[in-house]
Amino acid sequence: MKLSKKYWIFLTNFFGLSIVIALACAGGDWDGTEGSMFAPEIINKPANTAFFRSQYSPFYTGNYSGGYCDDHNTACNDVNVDEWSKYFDGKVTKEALQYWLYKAEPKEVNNMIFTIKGTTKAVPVLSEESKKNTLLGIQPSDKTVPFLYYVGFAKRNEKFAVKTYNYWDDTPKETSTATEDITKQIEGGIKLMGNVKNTFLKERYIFQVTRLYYYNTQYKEAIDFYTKNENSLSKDYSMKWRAMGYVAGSHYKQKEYSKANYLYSLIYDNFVPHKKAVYLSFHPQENADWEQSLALTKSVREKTVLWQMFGIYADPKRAINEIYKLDPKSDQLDLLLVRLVNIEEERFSETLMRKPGMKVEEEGTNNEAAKAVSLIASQNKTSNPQIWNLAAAYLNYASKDFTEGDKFLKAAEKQKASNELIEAQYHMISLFGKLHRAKYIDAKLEKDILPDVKKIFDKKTLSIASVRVDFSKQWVRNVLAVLFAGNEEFEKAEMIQPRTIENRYNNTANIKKMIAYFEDPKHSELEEFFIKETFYDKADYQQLLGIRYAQEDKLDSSLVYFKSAAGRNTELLGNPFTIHINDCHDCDHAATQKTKYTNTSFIEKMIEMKNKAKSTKSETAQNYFLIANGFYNMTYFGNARYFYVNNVSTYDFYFDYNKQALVPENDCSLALKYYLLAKESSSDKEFKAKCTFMAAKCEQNAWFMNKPKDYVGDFKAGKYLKQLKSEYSNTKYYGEVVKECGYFSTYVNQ
Amino acid sequence: MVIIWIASCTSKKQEASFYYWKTNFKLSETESQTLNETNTSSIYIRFFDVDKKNDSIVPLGLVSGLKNIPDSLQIIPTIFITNRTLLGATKKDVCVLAQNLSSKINKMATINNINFNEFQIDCDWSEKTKTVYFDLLQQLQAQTSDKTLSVTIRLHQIKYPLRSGIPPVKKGVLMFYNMGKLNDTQSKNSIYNAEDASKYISYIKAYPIQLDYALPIFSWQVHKRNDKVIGLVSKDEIPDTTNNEILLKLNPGTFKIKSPFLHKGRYFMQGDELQTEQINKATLVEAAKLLSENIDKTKPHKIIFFDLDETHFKHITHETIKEVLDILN
Repeated sequence: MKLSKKYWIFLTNFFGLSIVIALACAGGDWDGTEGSMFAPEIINKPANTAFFRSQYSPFYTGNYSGGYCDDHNTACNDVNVDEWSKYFDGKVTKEALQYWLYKAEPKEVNNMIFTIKGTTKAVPVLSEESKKNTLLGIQPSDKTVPFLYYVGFAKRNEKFAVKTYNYWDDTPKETSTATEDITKQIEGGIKLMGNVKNTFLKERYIFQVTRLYYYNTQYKEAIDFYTKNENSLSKDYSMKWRAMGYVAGSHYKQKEYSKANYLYSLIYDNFVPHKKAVYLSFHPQENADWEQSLALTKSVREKTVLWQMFGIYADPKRAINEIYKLDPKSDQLDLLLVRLVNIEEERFSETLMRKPGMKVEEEGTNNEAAKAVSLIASQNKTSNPQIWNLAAAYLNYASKDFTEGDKFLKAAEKQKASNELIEAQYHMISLFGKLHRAKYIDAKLEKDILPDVKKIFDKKTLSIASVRVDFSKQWVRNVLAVLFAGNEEFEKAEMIQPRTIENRYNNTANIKKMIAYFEDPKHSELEEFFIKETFYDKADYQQLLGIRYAQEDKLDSSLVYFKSAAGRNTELLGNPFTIHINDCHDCDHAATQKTKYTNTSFIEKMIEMKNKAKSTKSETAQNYFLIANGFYNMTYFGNARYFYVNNVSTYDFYFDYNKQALVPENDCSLALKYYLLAKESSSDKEFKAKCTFMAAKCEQNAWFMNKPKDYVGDFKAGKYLKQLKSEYSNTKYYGEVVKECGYFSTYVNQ
Repeated sequence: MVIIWIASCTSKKQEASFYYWKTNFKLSETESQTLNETNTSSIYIRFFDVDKKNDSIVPLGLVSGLKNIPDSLQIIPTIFITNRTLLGATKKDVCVLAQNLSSKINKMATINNINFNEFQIDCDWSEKTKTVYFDLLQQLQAQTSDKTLSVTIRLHQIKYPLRSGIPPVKKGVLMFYNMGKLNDTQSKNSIYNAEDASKYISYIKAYPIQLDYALPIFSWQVHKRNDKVIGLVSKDEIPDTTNNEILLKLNPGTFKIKSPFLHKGRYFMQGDELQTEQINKATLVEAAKLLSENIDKTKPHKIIFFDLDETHFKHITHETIKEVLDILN
């Protein structure tokens, strides 16, 4: 699937035009859900979003950051501003707090302090912004001044904490400031902390000092200081968890992995804004330190949280089992379940697509995961049993245990669908089960799958947030088409999924059958449904038939179908009757054209010329020559390649040297035939020379398309080029060819 | 016939070279000996890698010890750039990166008295990054117009030049190893196997850039799960393979994980496999023969071995290196 989508957009640079064919391409970039029909969002836990699995990376990225932040980005500022707002009982606006905390220069902070205290002789001059955000008059003032002292102190710490390196410098430095500065700052912080009475402020000094110790690589001191003051930190404020992050980091630096990871798990569970950041710091090293981390836990809850982190980090299946043993109702289970399903899905989704004639495997995949999930689902003890039943059904179907799968699907059905996402998920899994086991299709199966198909292809379903319906739809079309092709119902197959049988519509009889299929009023309900959802309609096939008839020199029939193909009359970019020694499509496209040809008018003109060639002897040669030009130009080599652009046949056109010889548009033999007819009909040597050269071009093109792989170069002189050299070297035209055509001049000079 | 005979008799022996990929340049006795015995006059030294770190494009793993380079050796500074560095890079990023790269390479060379005529960028670019990458190469070449800029080219890029694009440089090195995707399901050797190589080999001659050829002499440990390679395990990360409580020896060089464990922060899940893949004499000679049949040997080319590390010369002798050079002559 990943591969096929790449071909949905292609730039046909060969055309010298820039046709962008972007059929059925919904736009946007890859989001990592391309091979998935299982949306992790069904667990309905927004705080887990950033931990959902993407096909290309272990986690959702980009827009899914989920409001997380760490101490190195500004997303945490909001949390901090909210807390200060509470400190001031909402008396200071958030804008003012933003200003004083993150924008104001230390000098402005000092000026504000002096202004409030009124202790200096000279009245400090406040900046406009400080005036706008003034704290003067905010009561009680014994809250504002300590706030400003703290802000001043914190601002002086930023240079230690927030480092910007230039990595491209000769010697990037890890530390930017002398140790004595930071030591002084630590002493100052401890002193200021002693002076404050307010616990809110005290917490902030504890955080600052712990962080300073960490940045001064005094890891032991960081841990000791925090431990000594831990009781002053409230779990309801961010300071406790942010300070704890530095303590965990200090343990990590001292290779005390068990303590570090345990503390990370506490922050992970208690302080949502840092959830992702601390997870990324979580690195159990060996079995021993991991077990010690578990031993440090003080409750079942703490243990299950640690196991969830381990499940994301290393082994979801094992973690699920451990958590389930500890607490079957644990809310830590669901995230691991959907991660497990998505991981397993990455293994089996690549094997799901079928090819015509391919034997349907009896054996499924991913049995172990299916068993593990089934066991838990069957006990019905989790807090979210419907999700478990859906997952168990899906994995059992993938492992081709359809009896088990059906059992869990039935259980999921009974548990009332709690939202539209889950309902859509239910139908996708139901349809997956029905089609994954199908070896053939009959009226009974058609009827059976209809409700699921209708749900999945419903436009409303597509608009459900997070639904992963695209892959499901691609897969359903693929399997249905292959099943119908297996019944030799090729038109049904083609209607549901075009090109299921490759190259089938190079053949006019098959195209006629396809047109007849659309005209037939009798269709099953499933067919009726898909005809409304079909990629191409009757007119596309009529146009294709027009093209194919033209490529077979059946111009009257071609015209009939071009005329009947409503709204499919392609305009050609160059005059299709023009020809040069060297093909130059851009020149032909740029040239002013008196008559702009379309497919229809082009064929009409061809018919007219053919009639004239037959009826007026004096114009026979010239008309054959023009007809030959027309046939040449409607091939890949000509200036009117748009002639054969058709939704059905050029949908996934990709220049493949191995296949080119097989495609009608690459065949110049009709042009060759008419150049030779033109030559035979004329006695003018110059004209004959021209026809011979054109015939040589056709011959060279045919050779190029079938060029042996090991042949070096792109040119080989054929019969007509040799004839040109031996019979027409005294013509004026010959001289022009030698001048213009590099290949030919190399050949004649050999 | 006569002309061909004269050409093959008079052509100069193709030159051998090596990549030096370690972070500290210090030639061991075996390594120096290898260079002498194979008449190697030039080596490609990895100066640093470029990767994304906290959204910034940064140089990492700078090589040290460049002062120890013998004067007789011609150096080709080589920079490895990860593909993700280029994903989503803006025009400005590319401009800044080109300036940073050329100034960093030049500074490192100047400080260590290294004169160089050629430098190389190693990047497994993709369809998504080709525009950015080619833009970077053009800017780099423009800034260092007195030097030859060469790039490494993977086999898939040779086979699909329309999709991959052709880098705007005069010279490339075809890496004749690591052909498939590393995470393809396979029981084959992921460093080199003839089956994968044969899928690409016929496209080499038609490639429009002058090519040198790199051949593998290295070995590595791969960590596999469900038959897919999930990572490479460096020497110091390898668990104790004699512990048969946790590992089951399947054959020499392949172990299956019996019970799950963590080691150096890496998790080995029950059922995972740890496998040593190496290039022995037979494989190397086979690769050289296949390559030899499919390149234009009349054009001058270097044969570069990846990489210069004394541990490899336990399996690959100097004689084998010479034999390979003879095959490709």
